Amino acid sequence: MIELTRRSLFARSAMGLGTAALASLEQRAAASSSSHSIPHHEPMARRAIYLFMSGAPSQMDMWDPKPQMVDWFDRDLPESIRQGQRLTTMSSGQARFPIAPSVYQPVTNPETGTVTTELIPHMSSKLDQIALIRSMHTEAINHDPAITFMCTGDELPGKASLGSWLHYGLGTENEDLPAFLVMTASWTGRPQAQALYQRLWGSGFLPSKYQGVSLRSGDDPVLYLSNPDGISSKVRRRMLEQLRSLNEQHYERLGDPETKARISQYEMAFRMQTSVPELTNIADEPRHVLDLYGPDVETPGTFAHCCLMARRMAERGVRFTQVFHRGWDQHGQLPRDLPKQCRDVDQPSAGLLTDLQQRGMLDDTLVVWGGEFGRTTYCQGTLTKSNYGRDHHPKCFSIWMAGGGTRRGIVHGETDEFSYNVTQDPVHVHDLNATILHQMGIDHRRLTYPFQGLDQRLTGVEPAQVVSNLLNMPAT
Amino acid sequence: MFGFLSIERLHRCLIGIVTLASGWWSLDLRYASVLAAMPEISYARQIRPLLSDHCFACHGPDENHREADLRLDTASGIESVIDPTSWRDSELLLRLLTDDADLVMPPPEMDHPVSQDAIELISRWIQQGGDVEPHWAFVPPKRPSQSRIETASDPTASSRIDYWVNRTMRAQSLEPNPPASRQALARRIALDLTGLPPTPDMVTRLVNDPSPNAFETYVDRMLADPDFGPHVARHWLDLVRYADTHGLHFDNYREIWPYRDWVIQSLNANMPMDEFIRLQIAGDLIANELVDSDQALSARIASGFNRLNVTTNEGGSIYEEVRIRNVIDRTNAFGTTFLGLTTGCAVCHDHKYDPISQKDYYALSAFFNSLDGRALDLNAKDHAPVVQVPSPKQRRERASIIDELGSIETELKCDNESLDDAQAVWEAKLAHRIEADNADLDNTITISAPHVIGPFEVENANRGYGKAFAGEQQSDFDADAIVRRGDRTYRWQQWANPIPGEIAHLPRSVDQSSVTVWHQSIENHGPATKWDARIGGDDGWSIYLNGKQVHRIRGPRPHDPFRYTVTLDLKSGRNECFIRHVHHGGDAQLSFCLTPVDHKQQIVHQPSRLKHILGLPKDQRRSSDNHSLRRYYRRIVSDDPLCTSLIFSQQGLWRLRDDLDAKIPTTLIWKENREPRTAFVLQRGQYDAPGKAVRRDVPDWLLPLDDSPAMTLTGHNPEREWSAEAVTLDRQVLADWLTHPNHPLTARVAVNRFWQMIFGVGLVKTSEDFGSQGTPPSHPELLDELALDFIASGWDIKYLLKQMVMSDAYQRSASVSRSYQSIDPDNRYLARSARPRLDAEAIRDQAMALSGLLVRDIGGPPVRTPQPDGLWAAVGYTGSNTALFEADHGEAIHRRSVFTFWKRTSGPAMMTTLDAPTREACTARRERTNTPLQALLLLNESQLLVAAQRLGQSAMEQPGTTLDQMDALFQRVLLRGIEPDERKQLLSLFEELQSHYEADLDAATSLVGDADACLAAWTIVASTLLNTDEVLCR
Repeated sequence: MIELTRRSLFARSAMGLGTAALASLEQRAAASSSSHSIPHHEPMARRAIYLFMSGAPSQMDMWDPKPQMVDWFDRDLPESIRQGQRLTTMSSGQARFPIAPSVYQPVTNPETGTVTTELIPHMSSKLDQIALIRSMHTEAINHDPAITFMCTGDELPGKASLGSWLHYGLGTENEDLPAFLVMTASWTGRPQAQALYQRLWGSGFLPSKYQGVSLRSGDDPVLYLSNPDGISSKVRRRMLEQLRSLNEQHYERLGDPETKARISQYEMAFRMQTSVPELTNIADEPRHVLDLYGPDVETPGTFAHCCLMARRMAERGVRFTQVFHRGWDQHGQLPRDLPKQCRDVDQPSAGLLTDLQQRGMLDDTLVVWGGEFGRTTYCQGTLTKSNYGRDHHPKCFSIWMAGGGTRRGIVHGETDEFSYNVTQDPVHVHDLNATILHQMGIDHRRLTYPFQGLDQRLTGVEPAQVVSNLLNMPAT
Repeated sequence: MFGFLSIERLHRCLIGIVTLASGWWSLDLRYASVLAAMPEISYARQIRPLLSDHCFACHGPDENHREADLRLDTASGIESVIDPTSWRDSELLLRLLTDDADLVMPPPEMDHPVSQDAIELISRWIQQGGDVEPHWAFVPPKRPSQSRIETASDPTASSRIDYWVNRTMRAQSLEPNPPASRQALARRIALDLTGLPPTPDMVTRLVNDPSPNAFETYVDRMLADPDFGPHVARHWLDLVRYADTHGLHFDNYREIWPYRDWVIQSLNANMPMDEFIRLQIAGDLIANELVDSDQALSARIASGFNRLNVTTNEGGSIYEEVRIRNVIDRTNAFGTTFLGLTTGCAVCHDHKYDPISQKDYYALSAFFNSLDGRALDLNAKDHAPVVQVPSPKQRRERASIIDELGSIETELKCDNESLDDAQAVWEAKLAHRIEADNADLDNTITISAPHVIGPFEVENANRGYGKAFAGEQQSDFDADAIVRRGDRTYRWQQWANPIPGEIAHLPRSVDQSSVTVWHQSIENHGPATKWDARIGGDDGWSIYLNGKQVHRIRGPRPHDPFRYTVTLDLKSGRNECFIRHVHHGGDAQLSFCLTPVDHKQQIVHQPSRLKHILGLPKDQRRSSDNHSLRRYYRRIVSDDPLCTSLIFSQQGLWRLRDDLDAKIPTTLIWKENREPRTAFVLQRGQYDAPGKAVRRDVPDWLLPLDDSPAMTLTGHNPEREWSAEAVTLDRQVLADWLTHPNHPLTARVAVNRFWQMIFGVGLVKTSEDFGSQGTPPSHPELLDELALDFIASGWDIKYLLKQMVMSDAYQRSASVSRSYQSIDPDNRYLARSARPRLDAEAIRDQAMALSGLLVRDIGGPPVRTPQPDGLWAAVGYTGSNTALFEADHGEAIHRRSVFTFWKRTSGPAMMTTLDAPTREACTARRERTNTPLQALLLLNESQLLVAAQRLGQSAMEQPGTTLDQMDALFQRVLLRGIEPDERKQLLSLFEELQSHYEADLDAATSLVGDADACLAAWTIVASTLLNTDEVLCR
């Protein structure tokens, strides 16, 4: 068997060697191109929408209620549960770690029997449509590194974001719109909000054309999209014709293909001047659709508006849409702020699922909802029956996925009675990202890019697992 | 994709070889080159990269993950798997070729198969003997033998660069393009060396210069232009991740622009590269040896290189985690910037591809782990250690204040007969009163001996000003109280009673900000009354009386003893006075005493120690006690006009100094801890999993440290001791090691980056990685020769750049023939000139310059150049001082882009759209993309439009007909004459636009602010020209 292959090798002419010799100059690039036979398998989702809750929503007040904690009010978190786990320096100086039971009533979904809380009534009724993961865990304990880890697979700045990987791997379906769009929504809870960073949708080491394009509320949804006052579309068209002609003459002189590429980019820019306003103009949305997203939907910049926009983007072939909603960092005054946060996102998230479903798009659109870590069961600051705060907690948190080949009506993973440790089916951040890529038709091990001497991947060097239990068609 | 070496051309290669065999004297030059380009298979360039990419991960330097005990990065390892005598039986080949999934290498699950071409290459190499050499970049560059003679033999090569470029190019059967026109070259050279277009006048002068030295004159002029520095600096600032904010969490303003200005000035002054490197690595240490204070300040500013990492002050951060992260960031920056190696790969385990062990890594990190400052940045612009960088005027002002303060201090300290006599009388009275057992003492109050508790470590000094640490906000005091904080308990310690005027040196933590609390009880025997506390401290303090804060001064600041007077309302009976001292860094001093408000002669009863001292003759007292008593007497007791006037002036000068200090810019610098911190190998790179302690060391497989002493003969500091024992391994040693002429990497890495700047792509394309996984050099001999010449020239940057731009390779036309396109699409062989799109900064600066708007001032605080609203707010932490963007006004907004404010979490929109990095991590090269978003920016960005309008205005002001005006505008923007067809088209565009705007004057007003159809039309014509590919590329 070996003999045959060897013979075929030796039979080849020496000339092949020259090619190989030259190729060796660029061989790293050549090696990486092998990963470009994407999709690696039949994708279940063609596009994805990621609703990112920046600041870390409190899992036990929303998705992972622990009603029995009522009996633990103001009692200390047992050391057997904490297990010496590190804490942030915001609460590590506390003399006690008293349990703060959630003040929110549990609500049971009649179809699945899954229990959530009264804070998210719309999503509670959607539990039969989604896969709820209660066993997420992460490595970072503070916002900046944790959110960077969720979005780029690394705590340190400089890596490529999930959306830019998808754009790089899968390309675009609509040449007239960016493949990766980002929206930053307004919020009504805690006024002091954690920062976001362009790196969260940046391209890191990937070429910058793969970075997320921020869609802004206001006159210029995409930076520099609008012609300045006094330049009509007709004038712009005329100017671009002239520009094209000058560039073509230049191409005739020098023959540089980059000149041709520039001509086509200017053409695409012109088309975007039409396609983006068409995207952001919601005048054509019927009332019954608008109503799905709740009362804020017509106010630009709200989360509800962003969700509607996300659906319109999905419809138009935008590969990946990410909405960032801030204000989830409830260190204190949780009962004052958390309901407002939930009100911001509950109905719009559910509305988005319904809207996608009604259009038959939920089957191939993956929706992900979640933050960067969880919150502590013990109270940060002063605990009363009606008021409490919660510190950062990386050891468990809840997120959900829906559509795009995700199983419906399941709960994956469990936490202990304190919602402090994962007791079953832990899902690491890298596992989540591997699963998202998998549903998009990508083997996370094979989506690589050479940088700093390594084949970089979103899911890092340690082995990550696609979570088959979440999938309609388990990974093989 | 690499099939461009056609069969036909290979035949020609073979003919060449045959010709060689039949008689090489008849060989024509071209075939010699072909032969030269198809030499023996090079292990270093061709085989080792393959093995690295496919095998090293499991059979490489990482000894913890080495499979089958086989390593393929060493000669002995390779010899064990190849057999040149019976090459078909080589284990290496068999494993690559087998179909047996259990045997084949790399294992299928690695998903990284070796291509057929690569296997052929490996088999041929084994047949040729399987010679193994070390990785090319890890052996010092060497000058090819006889190359000088060969230059003479190639009459077509006008320089050493051209000799090597031609040789390699012709081996590919490529013929070079003819030279570009002088007009084009004038523009190319100016843009590459200054980042700005030449003026039309400069172009004309070069075009018409009949001298054979015309180009040289032009190049010299560009190199001497003050615009050179800002342009070249910009590339360096990408590399070292310079920015104007901290980068993490709050992302507040960080003041370190004097470092940026230092880079610009150094480049303009053509500072030798080795010195440029040494100052950045060890400027603080070098400064200590410099006599000239300006030079010393410059050196300290340069040491800011090691402070450019992103930092955080996120609430809840774990101090040690952040500290380690900073150290790792700096170590990686050192690797990328100077070594061109991905040292960061060795944080968690031995490097998989290069021989950097995890131990090497942490030994290197130990040079960067001993900052005398806090890891958390306090969200402050001047996160210590910093140095003030006053303007010359401020410097003069401050020097005269300090001078004056010094002479006052001297006067206050020195002997003065009448004052000393008066003091003696006061002392005698005091002694008498004490002796008389207070008989005659106005015993209104008594003060207890002090108690002190602490130091309480705080993660940043800000926290020291917040909540109480030891009951300061209570109105009682228990000397036996135990204070718990974190895992530790603290107790009050009684403190020796200070004598009047004495300065207390409080306990403090060495490695962290800390808080110490001081307590004294004040017993008031009379009715409620007012007393003054006289107080001073280094750094900050707050004083509490009976549970209430009376006054607070925030640090950091120098200690002005007893400077502040704070009135205390004493109730009758016992009063509790606490002083919380907040130590930022350096010393922890406190001066404190109580005096009756109107009766300075009075002194609060002090027990035995004062009595003892007063009982001694002056010359038998400790001199510090004499100093204290004199300080107290003159500062507080005496009403001699001399003393009062001195103290009055001193108070005024302190205030002047504080006011001035608040205005003087600062810059982050490095300052070494007195005791270096111990570095540990961190298991899996985890901050909380320290393994073995390691001492500072360089990766000596690159260049043994023992060899370095030789360099001191030519190095900057021949006096330094070099015996192995005497050398303290500090950053100065590291810098000297790095810039040693035998260092295999430093010069190569530097030269390659300059090549990249000039030619668009480096000789080593992966300019950030010279290791096994990097791209081998396209012209290895040239890289070596340039590196050696660079060192020999005294690391002369301008000389190096001049060599490059004077070469034929650089000056060729950029025309791309179809055959080039197929043979060498990436232009690695340089048969033509590259024509990269200009970087963001150059595009903006060019538009500013062409329109005459550009303001060329160099240096100063960053400029908030106008950008669309809402970009910072969309991401900013709500409390950040960079959450709201407000553009600067006036001339400043037309300064060069290198001075634009760089917020790391939201980079300048124009820059980031055009491929600028975020400046969060070191970036050795920018990608160049071509996107519709860039087109939108170039069409619609407001500053570019202002430039277009200004150009339009100047076209209108040009005398002559519209045709003349068009010609002039075209010449001005494109720096060449207009072609008839271009003229015709542009004129018709202009006319159409003009009639359009005449019919819609409102639109004209919207566009140019005036109902001026002509200006509106010209503006759009100018914008069209600014958007042409020709103008956007160099």
